[in-house]
Amino acid sequence: MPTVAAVRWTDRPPGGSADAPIAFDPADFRPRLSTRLLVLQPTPFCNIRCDYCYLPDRDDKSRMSPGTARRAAQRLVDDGLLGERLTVIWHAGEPLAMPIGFYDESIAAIGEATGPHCVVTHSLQTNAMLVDDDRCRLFLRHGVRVGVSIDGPAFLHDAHRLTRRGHGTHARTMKGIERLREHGIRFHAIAVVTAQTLPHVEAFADFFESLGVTELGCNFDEAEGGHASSSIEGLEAAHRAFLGRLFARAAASAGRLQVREHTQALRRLSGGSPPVTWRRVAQPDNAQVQPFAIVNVAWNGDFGSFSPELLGLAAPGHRSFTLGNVMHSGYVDSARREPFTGLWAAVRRGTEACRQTCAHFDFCGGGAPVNKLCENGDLASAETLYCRSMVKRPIELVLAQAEAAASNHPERKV
Amino acid sequence: MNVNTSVPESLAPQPAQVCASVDDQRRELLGRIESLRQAGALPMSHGGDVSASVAQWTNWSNG
Repeated sequence: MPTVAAVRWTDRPPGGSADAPIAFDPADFRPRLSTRLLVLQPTPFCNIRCDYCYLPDRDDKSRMSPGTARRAAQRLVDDGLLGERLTVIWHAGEPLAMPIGFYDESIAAIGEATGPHCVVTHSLQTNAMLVDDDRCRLFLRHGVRVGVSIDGPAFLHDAHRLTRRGHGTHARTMKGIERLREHGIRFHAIAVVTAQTLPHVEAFADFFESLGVTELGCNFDEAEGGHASSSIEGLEAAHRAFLGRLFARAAASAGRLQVREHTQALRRLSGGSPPVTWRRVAQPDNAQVQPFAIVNVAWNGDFGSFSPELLGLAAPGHRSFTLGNVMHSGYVDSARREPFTGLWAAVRRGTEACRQTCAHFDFCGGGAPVNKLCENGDLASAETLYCRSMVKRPIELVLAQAEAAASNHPERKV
Repeated sequence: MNVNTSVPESLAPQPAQVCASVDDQRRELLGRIESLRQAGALPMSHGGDVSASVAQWTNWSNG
């Protein structure tokens, strides 16, 4: 289990010295708290070894049982956290390393637990190397939404996404994509954008436009867990140029290239989701800072909340971010004790730090706790590289491009 | 508060903005948006239903 250095994540208000806890009461939230995303990590094992991966234990072949998956869903029902819709994401390490029968059993068990009044959507993020006809039929049988992790053309992808022997994986990923296409399965792509990607925006955009993905998400190289530093730290002018050009390509593609960061920036500027309130104070909806909006469950039933990556991290002094285990305790029950109480206080203070110091708070609602921890060493801190690359710069670029377009339009001068 | 003090050049305040408070920056940002909206120049989301897409949930992590 990797640790993060110099962590301060206990009860310290921004700028203050008192260690007052912040009570957690589900009644403080409007609308009522519900889990939108259940992240199930069926195995820590991954069949490849990307050099930027944050995950610990990628050689560990432990497996979740369908009974654990059922219990993870049943706990949502028991705790009153189940709403009308729930997305289940099978994620981390490589979920297709699990047998097909596991998914048939688990998806059925989750459906039985959640009942007929909740629409459950299953999604799976994969490197696609193990996609075959049987797995395609699995996706079709259960309506599983598929996301493929691919970093662009081979020269970019194979620079980081490697086998254990150090060979590139692009060709095998493309074979898996071909199989998806043969079965008529549409998919989105997620690309990790590193420093090596930034000078090659045209090749990057050409590749994904021709790949025909439903949507491209760019995960900009982050410092997390066992991956101690981001390759794009200090290259933010280059990042801006990359993103600006990618957005221009998306805008000019007539829908052939949908870039998640572009679409999300447009949505944020258009009003985004309705705000949420905590103790009658409104803030933008940000699932990463709301308890149990995201619930993450490891293969053995250990669970966490807030940023998914926190599950599996540990702070010095042997404090972990594991809140409990679904086989032994409920989610809300875990909120009565440590480590939840300290974690919640720190996340809440981090949200207030964002409100007090960031002009973009109204579009974000408090950033990403795991990035605050890993970049700043403090869950109660504010701005991170993640904020700049995923929230601030996309908004600034969309605004700048709109202003430039308007200035060239005689009837739309701003 | 241990905020990241390494402000990137592209987001660093310009000389005239050095003393701008967060509230001033917020007002300036909202003003730009409102100007675009009034001019009918604020772009709208085109297609891509992010709210229905699993991609909205996988904006964490490298991989």
